[in-house]
Amino acid sequence: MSSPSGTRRVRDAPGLYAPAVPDAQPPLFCKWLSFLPSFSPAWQTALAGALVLALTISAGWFVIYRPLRAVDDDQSLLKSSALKEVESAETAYQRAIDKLAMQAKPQLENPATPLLANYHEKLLVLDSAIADLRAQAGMNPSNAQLRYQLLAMYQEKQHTLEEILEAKP
Amino acid sequence: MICNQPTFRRELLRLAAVAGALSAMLLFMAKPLHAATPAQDQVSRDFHQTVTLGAGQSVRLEHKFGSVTLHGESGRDVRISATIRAEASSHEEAESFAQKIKIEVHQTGEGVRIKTIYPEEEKKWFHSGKHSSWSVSYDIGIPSDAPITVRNSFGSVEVSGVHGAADVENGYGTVTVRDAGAGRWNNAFGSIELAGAAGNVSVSDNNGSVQVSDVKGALEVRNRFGSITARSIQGAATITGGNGAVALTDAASANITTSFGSVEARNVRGDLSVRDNNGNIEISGVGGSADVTDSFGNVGFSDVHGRVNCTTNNGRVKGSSVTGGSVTIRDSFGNVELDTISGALDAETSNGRIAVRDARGSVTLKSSFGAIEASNVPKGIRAVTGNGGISLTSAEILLPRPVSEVL
Repeated sequence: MSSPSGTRRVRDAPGLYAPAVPDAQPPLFCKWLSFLPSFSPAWQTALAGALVLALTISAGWFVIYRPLRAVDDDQSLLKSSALKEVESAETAYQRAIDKLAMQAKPQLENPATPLLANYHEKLLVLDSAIADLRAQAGMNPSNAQLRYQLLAMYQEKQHTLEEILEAKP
Repeated sequence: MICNQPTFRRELLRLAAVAGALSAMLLFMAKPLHAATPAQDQVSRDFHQTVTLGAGQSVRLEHKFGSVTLHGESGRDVRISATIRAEASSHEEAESFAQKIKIEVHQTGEGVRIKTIYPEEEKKWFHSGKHSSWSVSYDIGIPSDAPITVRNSFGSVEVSGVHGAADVENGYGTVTVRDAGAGRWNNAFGSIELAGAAGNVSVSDNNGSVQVSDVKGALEVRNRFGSITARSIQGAATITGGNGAVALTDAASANITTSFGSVEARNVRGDLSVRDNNGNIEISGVGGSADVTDSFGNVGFSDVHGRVNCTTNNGRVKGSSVTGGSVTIRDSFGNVELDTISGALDAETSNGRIAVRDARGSVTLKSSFGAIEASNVPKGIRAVTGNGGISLTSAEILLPRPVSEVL
């Protein structure tokens, strides 16, 4: 690798400093840094200043954000991957519920027994809870409590619809 | 000197450049380390405050999103710890929202009121489609004798070692209570589990299971669509269920009403009353009288020391070991099987078989369309059937004669 021209000029200038042993091996870290281009002193000063600024910003950033820590193993808020899984499960429940609701519709519209009337009432309560939870989850989507409760309500509704179909006379 | 001076100066600057570049890299890498995903960033902030509670003063908590843990401690301090968590599409937004969620602690003559305040503007801003979430969890230590009032909507509530009067209402989440005093515990859509209460307890739920044990006072439970399990109740138990199974073990007395679930009651020291519509009823070990009404379920009873009065429409009745009082059974479309009855027996069914063994008092049996079988009835039997056989063994037949036949 040839020396940069600027370096050569300084080295060749007489009387500036005693010439170094021409064939001496440069120290390892000098070699290591030699890949960097040479800059004029003004640029070097500017670069150093920029680095000091970057270090100051880094330190400041850590100081400013120190009171707020990253949420690690806490389960209060779902991570994006978990949220996707929950949303996928919700979709699956909704599909299953839609199918079951279609099958149970005749019995629920005209409940023939007190038990079916009670199931109908239970479904209304569950629908109200699902609507409430969905509204809250829309505003607070990663809140684990909301999503798990919503899943539980879907599960309960599916189970109730299955019971209605089993209770078919 | 290893390098000459100008070279050394340049190399130093280069070294500084590398250091700076590395620090800049760290600067940019540090932020993703805090991010849950590239798209979302979560932050949390802790809150701590301690206030002193005067004698007789209470603690009230008003909360909405997140878990609540309350535990009784010695001393008069209320030590409030909370963790506020927020998530948004950038760290700055999450941090900004976390900083705006406030926990208000008010001391009044009545006691301490703790309230979570969510910024209204931010909530409106969230409505505009930003993907942001939040949660606040509490851990509060309070004097163990302090009365508490808790209102929470979406989160679990856990209370332990608090012996003051409790008034707790939750919405969606579990309620868990350990070693409490007298109290009222309500939940809408989540289970309630209470173990240990020093006074009277009232529990109400809508659609979750209820489990209660070791209550020193009376117990009142209401649950609309969930199961109820209660045991070791020193006082009277009043249970109103709806569409879930009811199980009660060890109570001073009990009054159970439900609609579409089974009922199981064991070891009731006093009187027991059970009303059900569409579930099986099974009772055993009743110190007083048992009054049972059902519509479409089987009824079983055993080891009852007082009077038994049982009415059902479409179910089998099977009873044994009624040692103290009379037994009256009214059934419509089910078989009746009775064994070891000390007092007077009066059993009637419209369309079922009646079988009686070891009835020591006077016996009257009537069936419209079923057979009657009786054995070891020393004080005599009056048996009437419309369309079935009558089989008597070791029994004295009393007039009037049966309508159909006597074998």
